[in-house]
Amino acid sequence: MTGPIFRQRWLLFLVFLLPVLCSAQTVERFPKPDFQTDYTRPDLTTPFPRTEVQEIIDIVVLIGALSLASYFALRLRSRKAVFVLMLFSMAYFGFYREGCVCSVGAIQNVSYALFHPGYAIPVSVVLFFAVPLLFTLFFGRTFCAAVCPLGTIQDIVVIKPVKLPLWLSHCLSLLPYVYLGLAVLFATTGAGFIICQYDPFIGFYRFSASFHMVLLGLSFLVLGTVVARPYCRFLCPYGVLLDWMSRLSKTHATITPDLCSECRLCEDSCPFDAIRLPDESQVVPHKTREVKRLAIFIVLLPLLVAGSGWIFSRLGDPLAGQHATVALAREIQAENAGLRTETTENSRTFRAAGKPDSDLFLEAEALQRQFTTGGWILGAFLGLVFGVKLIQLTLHRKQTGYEIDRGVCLSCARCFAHCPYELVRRGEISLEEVPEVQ
Amino acid sequence: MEIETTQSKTVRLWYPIARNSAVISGAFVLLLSALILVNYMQVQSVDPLNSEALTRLMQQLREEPGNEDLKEQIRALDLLARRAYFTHQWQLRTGSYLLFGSMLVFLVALKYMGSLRSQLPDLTREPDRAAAWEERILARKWVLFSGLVLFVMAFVLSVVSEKNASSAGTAAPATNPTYASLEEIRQQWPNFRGPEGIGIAYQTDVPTSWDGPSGENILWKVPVSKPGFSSPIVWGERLFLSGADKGSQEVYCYEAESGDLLWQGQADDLPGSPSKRPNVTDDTGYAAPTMATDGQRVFAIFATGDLACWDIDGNRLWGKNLGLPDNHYGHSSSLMVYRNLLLAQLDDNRGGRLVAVDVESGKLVYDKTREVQISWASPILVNTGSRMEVILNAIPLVVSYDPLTGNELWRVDCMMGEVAPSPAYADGMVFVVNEYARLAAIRVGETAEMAWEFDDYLAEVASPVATDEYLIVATSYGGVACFDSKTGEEFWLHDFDEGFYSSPVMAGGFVYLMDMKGLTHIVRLGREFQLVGSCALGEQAVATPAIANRRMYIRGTEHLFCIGQ
Repeated sequence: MTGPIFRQRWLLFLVFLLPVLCSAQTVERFPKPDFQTDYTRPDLTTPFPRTEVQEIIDIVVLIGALSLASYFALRLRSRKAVFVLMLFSMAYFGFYREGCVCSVGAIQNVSYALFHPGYAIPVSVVLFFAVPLLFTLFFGRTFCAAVCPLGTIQDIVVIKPVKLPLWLSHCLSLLPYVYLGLAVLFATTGAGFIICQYDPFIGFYRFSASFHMVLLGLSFLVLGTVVARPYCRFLCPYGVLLDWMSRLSKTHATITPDLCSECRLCEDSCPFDAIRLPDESQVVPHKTREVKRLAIFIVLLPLLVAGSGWIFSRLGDPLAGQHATVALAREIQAENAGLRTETTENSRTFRAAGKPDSDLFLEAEALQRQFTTGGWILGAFLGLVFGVKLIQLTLHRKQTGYEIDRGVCLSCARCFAHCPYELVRRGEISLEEVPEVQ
Repeated sequence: MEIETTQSKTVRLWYPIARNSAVISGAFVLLLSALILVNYMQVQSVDPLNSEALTRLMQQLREEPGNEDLKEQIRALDLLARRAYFTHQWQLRTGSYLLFGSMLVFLVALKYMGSLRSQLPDLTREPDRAAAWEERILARKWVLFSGLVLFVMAFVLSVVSEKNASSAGTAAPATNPTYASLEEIRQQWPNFRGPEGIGIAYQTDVPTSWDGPSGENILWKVPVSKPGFSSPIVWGERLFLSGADKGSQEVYCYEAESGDLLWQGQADDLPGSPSKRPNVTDDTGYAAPTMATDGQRVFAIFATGDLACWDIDGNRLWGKNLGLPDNHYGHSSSLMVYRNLLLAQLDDNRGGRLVAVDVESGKLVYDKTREVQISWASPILVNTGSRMEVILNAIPLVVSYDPLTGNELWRVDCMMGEVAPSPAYADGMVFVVNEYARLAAIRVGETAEMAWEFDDYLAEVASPVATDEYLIVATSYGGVACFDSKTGEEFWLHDFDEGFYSSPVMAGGFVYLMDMKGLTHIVRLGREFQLVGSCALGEQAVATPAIANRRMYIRGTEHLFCIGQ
């Protein structure tokens, strides 16, 4: 009975969304000038600004998709439903909305708005940032499962996922923190939105990207056939926030709907290495040494935070060079000092504007100070992340049964069907057919 | 068994279909990728508007402008090139869509193949739980290692960038002591108001009598081609002077002995120089700031903010613009050299700055923002007992800085009005004055405090001059006052007929006060007013005399004079 009901629901859902898709046409905020010529204007490579109505529709669709994703993953426990929703999200948030604004990139708008009171951040951007986090706090990372267009495009290319060595996945899992820290630093200082700038998949959704970005995106997709969702797991800065929220989530998808009999059938079902094996019988070797090591890590944590903060504060200068104003000031300085014989278009434009050099230098100096302060914060944050990771890897927690790692699990629903109790729940096998644990 | 049979049949039927679909779509993906790549490279290499044939035809058209056939050919070729370009683009786009579609088929086929041949996990293999902890330890080691790599890389990057910044001109000054000692400097007149900028010459036998119109004691007199209110500076046998008008900015080097022009330098085509000269008033002009020298190089700044450096043989070494001063009269603060740093006070309507550049390279060493308003005063550079200080006068603050770093040492809030007089210094006391403000004596040490102040006989332009006993103030309406520099007690007051813009200088126990008509009143320093003599130049003068080689060098409005016996 579950199958037909599911299909009916899906049809209803698609019928409901059809008018939404039809009505959400792109319009230009300002009409194009008519030059009365035969000139054919090229298509824009960035999406048109959304109208207010379209923004409201986007939010409604986002909340609807998140609700459905949570329902499919936690209640319906259906991979197929999640997959279909994933295709819809690709179509709507990816191809139709051309991936903008996305929750991942919204981190930067929110960061920028926090430090620039004059920046009027659209409510839709705030909601795109906050709503997935809120849903994750209640239901786990269902946003990653079926709503995020960056995640879904990677998910469909997973062909033969391999299990990464534990050491490698732990090391790589630190990269999103670095990326998040840099992205926030660059956004708050106004240096740029690097998440958007280096989004590897946006070019596919827009059918327009630089050759290098296409190559980068393709590389991720090719890698994604064997290392499932590499961007989500080892780069996505939003994933860091979702990870934190998910660990605190009120409810979360579980492998088994009932009890875990440790039948081991789900052991290899997760392409994201999010299943934690039971370790009841595990004995920690050299326990005293490990306890001492744990104590050392805890004691050294403040030092690590301070030291790392100091190191990164020294990077304020090169990081500031990424800011257009600082780069221009350095260019002007170099020209003034006679270190450059040729001027650039930027410096010529600046000089033509008649703004005094000193104003630019003062602005650049203030920005450099911001980068130094930001470097302290970034360094302290990364020091904390590394310290906590080391402590985490030294701590021993007892665990019975196969469990999902709430922070890592993307609620993709792949593992459900591997659990015999799930098959019993679905009525596909009887309780007697559940394999007995050896 | 029945279910298994059905499953086997499904696999037998669909698996080859899925596999073949995957192979065909995969091959198509590869082919399309290759074609798109080739097409992309073609699009990249093609520049339709600059093709060789088109350029050749255009060149031909320039030679034969009336050739209609040629024009038609160009149009046709242009159209062809553009069409080819846009066709390539269309192909690229269409290819992308096809690639996307075929990739989708490829992926679906592969996934379906996988689902048809899904396998149960190998349950015969016992999980090695004992090894799990070892794996965690290994992971911990790798995390530790990668963290170390990250932090070490960050540290190395910071060191490298610091080095690069240093070579790009934002680092601390070099420590190679190739600069002249204070004793050497005191034998010269290297900047505005002489050594340390305080108006005191460390020479005796300075002339006390001359007459410009008759030529008495005038050793030489030469015209200066460009106007300017800057004063002469002297190092050894060379005298330097700047001049400028709206058209050009120049510096001159004269032989101090003969007045022969040795070389003349142009401060033009400097990077960052404003394309339009600023508006300045006639009584300030474009060359009001006095040059400075360290004995090896000479430096000049102009109302445009252009700063340039020459070696003493006239080869321009570097030049730059420090920012166009927003100054309604015209920039007039003079330069000062300390060790290997050239210091410039840049106070304009936007605020104040103290800028230091490296004398050799012109690279910026520091650029300190000052919490002051516009001023026309110049820095003085003095040893206040335990340290060298560069002291700047402006509204509302008198501020002292460490000349090497630009760090502020102390400040006193006591000025108002439009500040033009520079500070004076003697024996731990700094003296500042301005019309409509006050004459203030500041006792300096680790901190600074007001010692005394006076509200009359206030100078408008001329800077005061002081010794450990006397302080002389010359006003623009002709009044000159002498005070006890320690207590502020008024020793004498004297009113001359003409006012003073030129700053008084001291030498050999005399104070030289040159009024705006070019008449220099020589007064013996003492508690009583004692006029030694008044010597005419023969033309108006507002620049401050330079004293070196037992001679006095004066810039009049038309000529440069050398006075000696």
